[in-house]
Amino acid sequence: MTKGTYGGGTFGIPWLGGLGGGLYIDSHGRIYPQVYYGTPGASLSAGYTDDLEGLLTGTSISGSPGIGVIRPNAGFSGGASGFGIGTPGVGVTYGFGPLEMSQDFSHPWAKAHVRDSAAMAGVPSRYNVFEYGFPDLQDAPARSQNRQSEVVDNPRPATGSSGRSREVSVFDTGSTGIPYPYAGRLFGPVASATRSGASETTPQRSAGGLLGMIQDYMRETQSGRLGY
Amino acid sequence: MASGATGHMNGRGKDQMHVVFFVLGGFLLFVSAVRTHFVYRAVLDTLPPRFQDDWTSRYAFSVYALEPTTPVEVQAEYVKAMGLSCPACLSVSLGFFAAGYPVLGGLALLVSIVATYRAVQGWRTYQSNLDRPIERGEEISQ
Repeated sequence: MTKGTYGGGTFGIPWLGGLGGGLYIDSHGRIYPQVYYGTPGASLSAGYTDDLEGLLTGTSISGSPGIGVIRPNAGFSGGASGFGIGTPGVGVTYGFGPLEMSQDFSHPWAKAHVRDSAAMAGVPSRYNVFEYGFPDLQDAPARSQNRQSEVVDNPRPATGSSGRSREVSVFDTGSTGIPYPYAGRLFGPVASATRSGASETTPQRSAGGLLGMIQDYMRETQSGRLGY
Repeated sequence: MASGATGHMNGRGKDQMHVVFFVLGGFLLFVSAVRTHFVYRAVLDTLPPRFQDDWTSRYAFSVYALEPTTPVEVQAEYVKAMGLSCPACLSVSLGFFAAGYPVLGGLALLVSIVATYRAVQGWRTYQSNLDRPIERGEEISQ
């Protein structure tokens, strides 16, 4: 269910009693081909709906009652409805789609040429920037956990297929924990999260005052509950 | 390697064939609609006053377009528009068949047959109107 505006037209072939087709496009660049049966001739309409797919696909009925060349227009399809303006005409349509044409507006066949041109001009992108320690896309996939220990034991850099030296990367081995000596001064969830790693090496200090008393009480309670 | 690439392209070509038919059918239908609309605007002033409003004129138009009193040039344009609708419907039909919708393709094929029949009828009416200059109000010089 997508909100948005839509616009398009239908054409009922006069010598076929008003049977014809049409095309609608929504504000997201999606196209909805229509099979139409109704008032002969060409009809245009545009409007807003809170359910573009519901209104423009499947069976729907729409019309432009009133007087004049441009009239209020309403369309209904199941629970979806849309309102706007349109030229005279009443018809039943069966819509297909939506056809996602918005991706094609960017000329996908030209992307490779644009990327090469940008690389030659020195414009950095994800395709031409060397990131230290990050393996090439064409290299073998990341090593398994079993091989990580071998890499740590033998840290001599190897040479990859691209000629770039393959050094021990933090992406392969993972980093060591950073000790945080001030965990005892923190309060709340941050303190409890950091305390587990820091309390073994750093003595816990009281904050002092009433807050310190509460803190000490909670530490004692927690120690007693855990059986320390 | 080359044969594999050719085979891949042939596969893609078959996959995209229905798109070609739909685009061609849509284009022909659009051209037919534009031509018909020009004829409609030309015939609108010649319709009886009670049929000149926005609503009834769209139904009366197809009846009066091939009347002997309608200018021959307008009739010719109308017949051309009718002729364009035949390949348009046929192309849409082939598109449905290529896309794997035989029922819709059959219905569109039926519509294209009806459109062809109507176009032939319209062509005959146009030819008979050409052979009746007196009924169109023209004088025959002796």
